[in-house]
Amino acid sequence: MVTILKPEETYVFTKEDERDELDTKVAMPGEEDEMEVDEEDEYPEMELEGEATGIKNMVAPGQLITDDPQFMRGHGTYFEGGGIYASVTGVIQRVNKLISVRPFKTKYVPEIGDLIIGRITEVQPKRWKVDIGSKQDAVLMLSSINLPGGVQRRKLETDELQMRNYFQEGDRLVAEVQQYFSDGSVSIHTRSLKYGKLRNGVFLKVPSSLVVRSKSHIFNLPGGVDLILSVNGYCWISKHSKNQESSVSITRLEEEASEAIYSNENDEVDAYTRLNISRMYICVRALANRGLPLTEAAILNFYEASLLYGDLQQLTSPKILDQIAVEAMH
Amino acid sequence: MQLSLPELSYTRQSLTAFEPPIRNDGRSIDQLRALSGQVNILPGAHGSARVKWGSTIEVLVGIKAEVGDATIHGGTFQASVEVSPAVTIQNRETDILPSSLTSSLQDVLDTLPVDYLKFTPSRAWVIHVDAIVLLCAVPNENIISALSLATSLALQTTRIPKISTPNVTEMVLGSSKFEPSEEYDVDSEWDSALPLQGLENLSVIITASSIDHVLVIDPTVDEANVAQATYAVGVLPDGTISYTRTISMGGGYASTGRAITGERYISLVKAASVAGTKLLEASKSLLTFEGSGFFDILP
Repeated sequence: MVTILKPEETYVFTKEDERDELDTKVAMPGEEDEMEVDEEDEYPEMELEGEATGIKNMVAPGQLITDDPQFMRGHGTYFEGGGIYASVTGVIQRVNKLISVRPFKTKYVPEIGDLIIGRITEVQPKRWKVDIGSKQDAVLMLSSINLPGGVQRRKLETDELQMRNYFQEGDRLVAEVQQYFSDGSVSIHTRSLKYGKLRNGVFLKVPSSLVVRSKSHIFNLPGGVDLILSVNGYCWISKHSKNQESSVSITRLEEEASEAIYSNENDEVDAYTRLNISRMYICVRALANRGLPLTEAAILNFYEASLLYGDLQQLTSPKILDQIAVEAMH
Repeated sequence: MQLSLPELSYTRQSLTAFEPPIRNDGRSIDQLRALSGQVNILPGAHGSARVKWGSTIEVLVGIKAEVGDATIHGGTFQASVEVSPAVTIQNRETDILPSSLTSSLQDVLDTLPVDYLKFTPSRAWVIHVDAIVLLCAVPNENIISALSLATSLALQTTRIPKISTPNVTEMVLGSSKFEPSEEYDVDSEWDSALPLQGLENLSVIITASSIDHVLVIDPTVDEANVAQATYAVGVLPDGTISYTRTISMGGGYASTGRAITGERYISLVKAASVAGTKLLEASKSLLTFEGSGFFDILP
């Protein structure tokens, strides 16, 4: 179906949504010091200030933050002619005397403990390089993966020579960020049955800034579909797998860590599940395209509202998706 | 961008093992992705159009006409495609993506008649078709379809100033010298500007893939990766095919040894033609749309 129309913005942000969305903790003393408006400043953000009470201290590039000499400048700012100006669009953060601007849209910055989906880009001696959507590829060491045969299995020399038996270029996996290296890249591990190679599903990329950091990023959704929504914006929608259900004890790890965990063969996925996977794909992508935050509740609401339309083809129309989005956000 | 074996296998199974085939984004096999567009958005250009193809591609085309040297055929259409730095930093003449897009777009433009563009023996209109790819979220995505549609829309809304040549027929008696005049007047009235001619020769490009026994229109990158062959088909407004070009022949994963037979190729091209005419019909309504305003780009 082809619609050639002028794109319309049908979903309008209300004040409540903005306040719910923001989890920034900004401590600003008074507004007079920081939010001075330049004469040439014609950015519409200043008009928002009165209405959008949720977004305080939002700045645009080139906007003067302060010209008080006592402050030091941090990330996202620059110093010119006696004042500190913002160099990115974002929210001002102040820690004692350090002023920095946290940008709204930035490449994913990994933090320790993050659950991320990645893709193997290189196979190197005793390690793999994994693309996780940040400035540098992450490193997956051979010692950080489960070797088939049990947790106590020692790494053999043959393992180093047969690394592609485990992961090869292009494979998708889910892992956890373990630690930082000195150059800023991170090391990831898959030492749990929850992690490892991804199968039986589809990949989707959404902007990382829309993914809200929460306790759990693995959702078991109705219709037999699992959704892994990782903080770097990479998503995996797949058939429900029992691995994701409960936490695993050591003894079970020994039984289950067999060759099968590195198999490239998908399970049988029937038509009903595939249609639900496609439906979930449409829902998540529709939310992302409209710039709406991706929380479990939002996705579930959208999915449930979309069930009104039994035929997936109807969901390919942007107008219908707009209607569903408006319904789901209320 | 390489896809993993499980992903390729999943996509291929979804398309081949079920009736009707299941596509990841819910479309039917002959459905194009959701498009939207705007025309007449660049006030400084003689014609312009902006097209969003799916949620991953966005292109902007501007048409500028300038008076230049005439060729034997008349005037010229010149294509130039640039890729926005937000997408890739390649933009030199030798870089692959911009130069292949430019030559593909030039191929589409070369079918247009140019004789009416000439107005004096040595002067003619040179129509510059400048395109910029604003967004291409996925590598190896099919940009040429969006470019061809945007170019078609832009050219249909282009108005070039009317040229009048004063009627100089001074013949010097006794002399065999007759020099046709090089003078011309440009009418600066907007309302008397003229549209371009011969635009029914302008084709829109539709991509189609053959995956085992299934024909898929406007394949996404993962669908194209599991196909035996993917073609770009140029479709004219009346449904005839202007040209076809192979985009890829699936080796590797999809090489089941199944070649594309003649009948298969014909049905693929027919399906593309149907989709193309639908697209051009639907895009006509955009040209008469009276909306205005500059819109923000949403990914």
